[in-house]
Amino acid sequence: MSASQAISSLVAAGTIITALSVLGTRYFRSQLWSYVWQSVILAAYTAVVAVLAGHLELFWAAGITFVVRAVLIPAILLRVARALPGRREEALIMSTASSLLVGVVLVVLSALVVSAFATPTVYPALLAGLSVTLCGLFLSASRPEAFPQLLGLLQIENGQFLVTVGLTPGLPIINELVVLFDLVVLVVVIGVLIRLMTSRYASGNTATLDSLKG
Amino acid sequence: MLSAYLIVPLGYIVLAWLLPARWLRSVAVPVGAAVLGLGIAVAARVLSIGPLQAWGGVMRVDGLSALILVTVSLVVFGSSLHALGYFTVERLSALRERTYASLWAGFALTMLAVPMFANLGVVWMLVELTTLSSAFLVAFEGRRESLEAAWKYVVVVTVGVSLALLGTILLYYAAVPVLGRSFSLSWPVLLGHAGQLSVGPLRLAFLLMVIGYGTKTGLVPMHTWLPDAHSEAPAPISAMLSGCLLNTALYGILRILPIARPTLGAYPGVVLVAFGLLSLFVAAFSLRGQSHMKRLLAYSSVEHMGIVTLGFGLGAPFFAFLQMVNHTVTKAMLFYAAGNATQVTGPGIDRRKGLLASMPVTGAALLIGGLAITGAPPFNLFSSELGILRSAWAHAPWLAWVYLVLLAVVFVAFVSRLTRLVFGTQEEGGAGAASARLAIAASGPGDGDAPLDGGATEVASEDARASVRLGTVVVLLFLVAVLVLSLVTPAPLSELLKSASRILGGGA
Repeated sequence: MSASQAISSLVAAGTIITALSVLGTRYFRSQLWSYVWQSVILAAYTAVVAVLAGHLELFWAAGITFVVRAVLIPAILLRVARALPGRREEALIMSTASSLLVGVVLVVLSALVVSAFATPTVYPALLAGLSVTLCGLFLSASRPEAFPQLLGLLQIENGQFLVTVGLTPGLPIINELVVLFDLVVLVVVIGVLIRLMTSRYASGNTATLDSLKG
Repeated sequence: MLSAYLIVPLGYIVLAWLLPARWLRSVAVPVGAAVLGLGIAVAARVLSIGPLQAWGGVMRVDGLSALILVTVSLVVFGSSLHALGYFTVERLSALRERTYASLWAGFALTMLAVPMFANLGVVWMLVELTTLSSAFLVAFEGRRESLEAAWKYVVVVTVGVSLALLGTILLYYAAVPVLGRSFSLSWPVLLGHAGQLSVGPLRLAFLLMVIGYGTKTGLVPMHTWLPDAHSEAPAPISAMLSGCLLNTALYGILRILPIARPTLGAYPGVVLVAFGLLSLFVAAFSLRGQSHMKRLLAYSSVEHMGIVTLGFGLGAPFFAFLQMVNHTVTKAMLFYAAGNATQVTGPGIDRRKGLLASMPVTGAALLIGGLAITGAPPFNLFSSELGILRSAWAHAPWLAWVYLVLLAVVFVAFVSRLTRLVFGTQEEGGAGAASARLAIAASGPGDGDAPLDGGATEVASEDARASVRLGTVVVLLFLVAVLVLSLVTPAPLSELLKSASRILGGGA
């Protein structure tokens, strides 16, 4: 196993663990910190790929990723979390333990899918990318409260970034910039919507919003 | 010229925070007119001299882009005019006026920018920004339902559109063997090498992009947000969501189609036909249960985007584009008319009968528009739906039969709901519901459960009448357009449709 493969395996393990740990807790702060660590690992990985693949442009991507995904967005999220009425999710459809189990199944599933076609060099990044995306998807689909749903969306984007860096490190940096810009706007818009919800209905629970059907 | 196109709405966003709030919606009308004028000018230039470029190739507008731009501009103009009357009932505060004005212009700006940029990553971002700029417009009326609709809209569409980003990355990956490790992710570059891309990743990329942009286009089964968002938004915004946002989202798929087809052969067509038919099927049977006018129109949009997608899948781009244009004009008119009706009577079809008697122009417009939107002859959508039928027949007769049966189901469901609304007498449910709605409107936004108040009703009803008079002008303008399109396809439009069809590799 080469150095780059060892590093990408470590990164894959780290991001998958953070993705699972968001699923495994109902406290907003813990979920947020898992997201921060996931973003830090992503930024570090980007920097490593910059060196190993010789794409110096990726250094910039790593720096900007760190600033936006690991600092700016969490700072906004922290403000959103502070405005929430509680410190943890009150309404859960599924216990955190069962969510965690579903998460593990999703990771195994991703491994099966990815191993069918990926070469050993891109395997870890693709596995992690798909696992994080699926866990994010599951998080935003399975939690009734708005905050974890938002984190789910953000994790989907992290997963896609992993795929980008692992699969197409040559992708011009402009594409990473537009995605980050979009992410910031997304977090602001959703943050305001959560505020509107909590100020009107004293709850960040989107399950109380269920009058539109059919 | 392309820069001016974007500067007009951008300038209006700035003005929205400088001018006195009460002028804003009046100033929006010349802004909308300028956007429409520029749209037509851009299309005319594309037809006379070929694709336009700006900013050193960062922006590139060909026939396909121009066609989308024209449909967007048309509804942006219509909505600027319709908003003038629509919000007189609610009496917006200065802050809400400014918010509405800047969000409206921002929404228009992002939709106009989507078909202009060459970089597919930027296109993806702009599509995503159209969601974010319109989210607060969906929630604008401040009811609990509109907030719910906005939430669902943002979450479902963001998840969906993020798959399109994954698709875009895979598209890049599919081109790496040909173009080297690092190149610009722009469609002119990729189009130049269509046919040389790697099959496996491209197949997955195309599917992901159809699912991703298809979520925003309202294709079943990713359409769940659409009826809520389209029905909860204020009417001028509903018209923009249905009439042009869906087209801009579909643009994302259409851009990839000529890149994917040379490599993948029949596969893209099969995917589009499957999604188109499924959308048509689900929409046809969902129309029956709708008792809310704007929800009915929203499901009809799912149906029409299904037909358009089916048309593209069958390789009949000319009729698919014609269907798209016809849908834009007709659906915008219907939403404006429905907005006028809701101003006076409230949203439910069941509570609001005899519209033809109480509001003759709006009632007649809804009736004509309703017949047109179901594809009844002699109206505009009939000819485009017939064109797609012919193409389906040429491919496989069973496909044509399924399509025809579904159209019949749509017709019966839609017309039966519509006639309940338009005909009948007012005593059957008009007056009581009308005053209830007006009391709600008068008591201000965000307060949908307010008790009935007789005094407020009288005041608001004057406003409502004035508002409807203004709204009727827009409805009549679009009605004329529907009727003109029913009789002829104007030569310049036909040229534009042909030019767009050539890009998708189909003859007219």
